[in-house]
Amino acid sequence: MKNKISSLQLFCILFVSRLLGTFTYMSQLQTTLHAGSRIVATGVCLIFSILSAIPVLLFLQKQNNASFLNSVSILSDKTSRLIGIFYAVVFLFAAIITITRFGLFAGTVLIQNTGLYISVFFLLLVSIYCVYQGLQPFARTAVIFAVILLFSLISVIAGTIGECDLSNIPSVQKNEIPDIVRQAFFSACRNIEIPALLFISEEIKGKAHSTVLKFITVFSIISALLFTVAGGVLGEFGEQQIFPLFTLTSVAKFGLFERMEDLLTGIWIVCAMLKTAFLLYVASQCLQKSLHKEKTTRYAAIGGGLIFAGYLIFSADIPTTIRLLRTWFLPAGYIIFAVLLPAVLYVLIGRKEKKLKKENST
Amino acid sequence: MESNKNKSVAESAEKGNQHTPIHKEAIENKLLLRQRFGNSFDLIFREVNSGSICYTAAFLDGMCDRLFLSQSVIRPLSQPLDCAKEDAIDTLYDILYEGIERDMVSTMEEVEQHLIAGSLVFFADECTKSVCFNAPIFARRAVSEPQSEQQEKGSKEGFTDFFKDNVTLLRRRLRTPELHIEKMNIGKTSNTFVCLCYLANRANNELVEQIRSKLTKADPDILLGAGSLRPYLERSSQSFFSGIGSTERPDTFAAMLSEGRVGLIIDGVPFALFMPQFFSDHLRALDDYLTKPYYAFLLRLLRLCGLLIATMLPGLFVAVCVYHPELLPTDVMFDIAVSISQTPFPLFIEALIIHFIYEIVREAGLRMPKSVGHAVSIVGTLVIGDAAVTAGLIAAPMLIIVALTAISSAIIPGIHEPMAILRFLFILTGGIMGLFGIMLTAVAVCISICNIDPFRIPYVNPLETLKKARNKNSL
Amino acid sequence: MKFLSVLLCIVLLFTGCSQDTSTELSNRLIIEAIGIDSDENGYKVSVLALNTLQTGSAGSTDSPDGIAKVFTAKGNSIADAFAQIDLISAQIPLYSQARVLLIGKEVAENQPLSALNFFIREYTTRDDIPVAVAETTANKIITADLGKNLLVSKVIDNLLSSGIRNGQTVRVPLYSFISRLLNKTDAAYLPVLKVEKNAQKKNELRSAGVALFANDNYTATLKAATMDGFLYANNLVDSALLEIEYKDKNISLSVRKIKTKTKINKKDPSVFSVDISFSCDIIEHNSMKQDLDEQDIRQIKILAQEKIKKYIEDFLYFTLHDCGCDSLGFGKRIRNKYPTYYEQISEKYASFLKNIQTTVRAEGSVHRPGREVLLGK
Repeated sequence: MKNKISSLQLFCILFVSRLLGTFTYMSQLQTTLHAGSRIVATGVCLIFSILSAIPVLLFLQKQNNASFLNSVSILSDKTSRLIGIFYAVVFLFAAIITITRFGLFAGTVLIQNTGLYISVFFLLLVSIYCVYQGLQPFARTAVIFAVILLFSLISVIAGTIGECDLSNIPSVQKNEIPDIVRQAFFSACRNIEIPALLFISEEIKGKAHSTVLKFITVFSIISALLFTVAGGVLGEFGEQQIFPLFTLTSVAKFGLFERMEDLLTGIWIVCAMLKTAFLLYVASQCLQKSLHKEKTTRYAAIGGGLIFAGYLIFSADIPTTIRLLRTWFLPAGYIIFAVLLPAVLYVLIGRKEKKLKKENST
Repeated sequence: MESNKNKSVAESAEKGNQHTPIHKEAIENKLLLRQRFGNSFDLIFREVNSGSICYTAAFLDGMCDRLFLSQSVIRPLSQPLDCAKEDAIDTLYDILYEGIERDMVSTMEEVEQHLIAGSLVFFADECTKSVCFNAPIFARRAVSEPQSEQQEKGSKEGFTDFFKDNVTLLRRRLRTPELHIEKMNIGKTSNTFVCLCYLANRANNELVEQIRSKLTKADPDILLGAGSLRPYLERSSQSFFSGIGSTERPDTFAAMLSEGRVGLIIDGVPFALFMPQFFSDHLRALDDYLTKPYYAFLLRLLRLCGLLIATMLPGLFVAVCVYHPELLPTDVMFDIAVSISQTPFPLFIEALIIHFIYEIVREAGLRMPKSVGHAVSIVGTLVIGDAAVTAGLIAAPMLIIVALTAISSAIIPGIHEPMAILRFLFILTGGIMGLFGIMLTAVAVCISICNIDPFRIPYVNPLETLKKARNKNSL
Repeated sequence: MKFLSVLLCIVLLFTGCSQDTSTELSNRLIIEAIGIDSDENGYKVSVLALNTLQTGSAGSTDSPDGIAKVFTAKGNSIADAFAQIDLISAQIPLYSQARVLLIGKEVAENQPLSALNFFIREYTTRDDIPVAVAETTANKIITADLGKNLLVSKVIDNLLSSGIRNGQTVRVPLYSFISRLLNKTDAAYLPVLKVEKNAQKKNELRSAGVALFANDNYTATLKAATMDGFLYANNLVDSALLEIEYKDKNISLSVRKIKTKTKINKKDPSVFSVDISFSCDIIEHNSMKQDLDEQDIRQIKILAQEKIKKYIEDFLYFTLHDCGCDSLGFGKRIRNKYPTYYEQISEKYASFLKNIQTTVRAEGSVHRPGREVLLGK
């Protein structure tokens, strides 16, 4: 029997994975105009995230951490297989988007000279290796890097807080509320880690509810803090940058050491790798449980190849990709597979179980 | 018919694994032994008469204490024994019991084992048993200071090559009946003595049972070093790090056993194995417990920094200088740039070459006879160090990096091998992909370390739990 | 496993074949200072770079070319000029080590934001690089000979950094300057530097005031008292020297722990209060008679308060009424507290500034009055 991961390990996986989105946020992808509204949007996103996580958490509670696909198979085996393949495609697509966004970030600011395809290829190779080793070593690694990440965040904030002028952050106006709500909604729809929990629930020790709530809260607080410091330090200059948080790390100073952004953002590379590995692992699990044919590692290799192919397609036309990310396509997709589908399945499975109980009792 | 009998006895003896009974005729036993040991000059037979009974004694010259045996065993036999021929061996066993260890055996295989262990073996006609008087004596090294693990304030005793001396050293430190030491023979040809040691009230029974069963299943041909047993005990040999530790110090070994771990003492090897070993063990030393906690904490941090420097510094240096020079302060960058502008090789190639040369010098220093050791240090220091820099073949900053790496790797000698491999890996990835490559490699190594779970306990335990109470002893 | 490892190493090595992926440090032009001046067809960029290809050992000062070299190139744009420098020097420019960015007076007077656009977009440049305006041309300062083995960039950097403790100049990082320039109401500021000959006829770098910019246009240069007021009001000085006259004697005070708070009135958004608190030490008074008592100390304190208050009032009057620029961040405060009102006034902000009423209050204390007060007469 596989070792189960503890709640601390689960928290670290979710934390490291989700924080990548904050680090690499682009002003162009935001619907909010300035730092003030962005901070408020983060607070509203906290509420949306908790609400959107309810169907998943209810499902986990009902099934008592049993396998999601096993629970769905009570409806029919075919349904379970289709659901499994559908979710595998969803997670692979999410991994492609993650890699594309990170590739854009790395190519722009980190490694302008090295061929990005090679770097992404090796990142995927390491991700496949992580999947090959299983969830337990991956979870332990996430704990170690979560600690390092926390130290790097503290150092960024400590190195820039002296320059922070809160008057640089404009206050929110009434006419900005629709943009704030939209931004909060878009951000909440990027919590791909929460529906992924359905497929690793049997490998989690204890109940995941409190861990998920803690994760959402801590993530929102840290994001709000980072946006506040970035807005207070950089002001209007930050709005001109594609990656304002990267600019913030370049401004951070610790004594002799001034340009530490490469070292600090090196941790972000790890976040990208861990997130990709996590999504690839979950997708492999979905395929393995649905198709029962090959080992998880083989699906991981195939999935890695598909992600790389998807990256090549999306990165070939960045403006179109950015436009896609600004549309309602991704949030709509999230609502369907992370909120509606689990909710519908929850109701259907509940009814089927009641029916079976009645039949058994009679 | 006799020749057929001899042939059948000989055939069965040759098979080795089968139990060959002791023949009634002493001459047959003598022939069997000669056949088994071939033309070995050190297998000696003597006829000892005690009255009407003629005993045939066999021993391996150099393995047993001839003086002691002639005084304690042979001399008393000059008094004739009043017994029947069939009871000759039993009588010998019963009368010679003062101050001498003896065994009664009934198979030729046991006789062979006792001969090899340094016993004087007696046969007699009409007896299907044999008595073995154990008095081994052979040249062995005295207890001396351990060579590979130095402690400032700890004991100066180290393990020797003889397992019984090592057991004694251990018993002196753990004076409790809970210390169980089980002896077993491992090695089809070598039949090496291996002692399984554990504290019964501390070690997990499942762990002990697991190790015991693995040792029972282990079937190496010869067991000459501790490393020969590792593949049988470890689950996966593909990782850089090992879940089985070794130590030359009895005090360290006793400390490990007191923490509930299980150890192995192997005859002929001055190192004892203990398992499971954790990553945090490399950061600890016995001296830490003999100083104030705050200083011990500083030392452990130093070791951690030393580990990171020894593994990652050369790769980081190459990555930063080639891909991320903005990380360097301007004055440092200027000095490095001027130095490397005068060398013919790119920094990446230079790093690979100089570290390769360092490994050669290190290996030569290990294998070279002491009398020639001075020449190696002169060649290493003057020629490779000073002359190469003066000639402009190598940049001075790179030489400083190598020196720092070498000194840092000496802080934790136990994991020199994985550190050396990882160093080259980091140089390779850092030189090709910069910090991106370094971070990817670091993650891959981390995953590999986190995947090791010797005997179902994580190698990164208890660091990965982040619990203060459990990590008190780690950092 | 071994086969895969060897294959991985071979694959890794082949990826490094391309010359573009890595640049040796010795092939980089380590830029210490950048100067931008106007040219007929665009810009003239002067670059002070470290001479890494010098002969001899590192740090040697005997190289015939010296420790640094100046490269100058012209181009239609900054990027074009840097490309020319790449050709001249045969090394790839490394912007990350630049200690200072100087812009010439002409560039400063003609929409400096367009000249700085290259530095906003280029990620290898430092976002916190200090920016300064040259009183004449940037090239004159960069090529100035300030002494053997003295790097101009280091001297400028030291001079700008010293402003916080001597109140003579100010250090403005690029991102802060750009942020203020982009703001609709805020005035941006930069230190002004000049090179002039001293009594020994040697070149010396000096501060020549603080230049103010509003809406991407150069407005005025603050000097002397108005500059002091500006530094005090914006919390840009930690310690400064204050000279006052008391009983016909000059008293030198070292002013420290300066804290200025600007508050907007809760009822009227065009009324502000500027409160400054400070502590000072009497470090010198040119009288042979040591006759300061508690009464004198009190009077000195009042005089110091009045002088600093005057500095700030003069500065505010000059910038708000004469120059029409908001260098104290009034606009930001109105935007945060009265956003609707801000929208109304932001289009005609310069005229609104003239109607702003400010109340300045200075509160000080004499921390170290000297031996005579402590011990008594």
